[in-house]
Amino acid sequence: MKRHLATRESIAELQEARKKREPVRVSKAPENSGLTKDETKKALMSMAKSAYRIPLKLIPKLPF
Amino acid sequence: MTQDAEQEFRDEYAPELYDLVVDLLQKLNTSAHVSYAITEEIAIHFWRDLERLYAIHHEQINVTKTCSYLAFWVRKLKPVSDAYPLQAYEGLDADEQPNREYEVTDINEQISLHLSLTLLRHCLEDSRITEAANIDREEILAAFDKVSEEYLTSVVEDGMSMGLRFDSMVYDMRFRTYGPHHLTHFLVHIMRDIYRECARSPKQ
Repeated sequence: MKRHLATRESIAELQEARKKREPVRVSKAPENSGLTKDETKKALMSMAKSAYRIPLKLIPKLPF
Repeated sequence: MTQDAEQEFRDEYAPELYDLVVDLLQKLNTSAHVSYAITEEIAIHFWRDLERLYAIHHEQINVTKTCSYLAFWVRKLKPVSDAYPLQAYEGLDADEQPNREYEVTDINEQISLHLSLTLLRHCLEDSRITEAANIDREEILAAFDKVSEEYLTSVVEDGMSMGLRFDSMVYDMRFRTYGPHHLTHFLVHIMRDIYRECARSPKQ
């Protein structure tokens, strides 16, 4: 297996290369992928309206 | 986030969360003590995480993450204690305590999973996610009910786990390392199956 031993020269090369690197642009998220902060807050404050039903099998019962 | 903003969210959300937990306990036919002080702590830490996620992800964050972080903090701070199925009180006098072996020791893990699904369903009921996915609201909600129940009540096939997938997840949440990212994976799979279900049986 080839070993990569860092030398002062190779580190300097890497540092130079890094300086030239372009920043990674964050693309805009698709519009259906999430909620904004206001939308999240609104959803949290009205969670009680959720019609989620707990499956009957998951209701705790006594072990007999 | 300023301290005032944090307290404002806590004061607004903690009563809502407290009522939700009490409501879930009722649906689970379980009697328990719920700590309001702990629901306040959950509100604060949960919102701090969301603020951080909004700082990283800018304008939007995926609903599955919001649901997971809520469940994570409930599971971590454990607001529910002394939980017993109502059956355990049958035939007892008012001052009698139920048999200790009937205590539901993993009630916080159970509640946290149900809370995350409560929020996820609500986001599909009342948000533009359903609209943006171009799926009929009733159709996606029917798919949510079918997929989530099937998943949670299905049996883990490896023969080494706790039985139902729900029980297996509750066990792992209680006794293994469990972060919000684990729950995000689960919810993303649920969402994927919901979309598949809708694609399989499009509304006529």
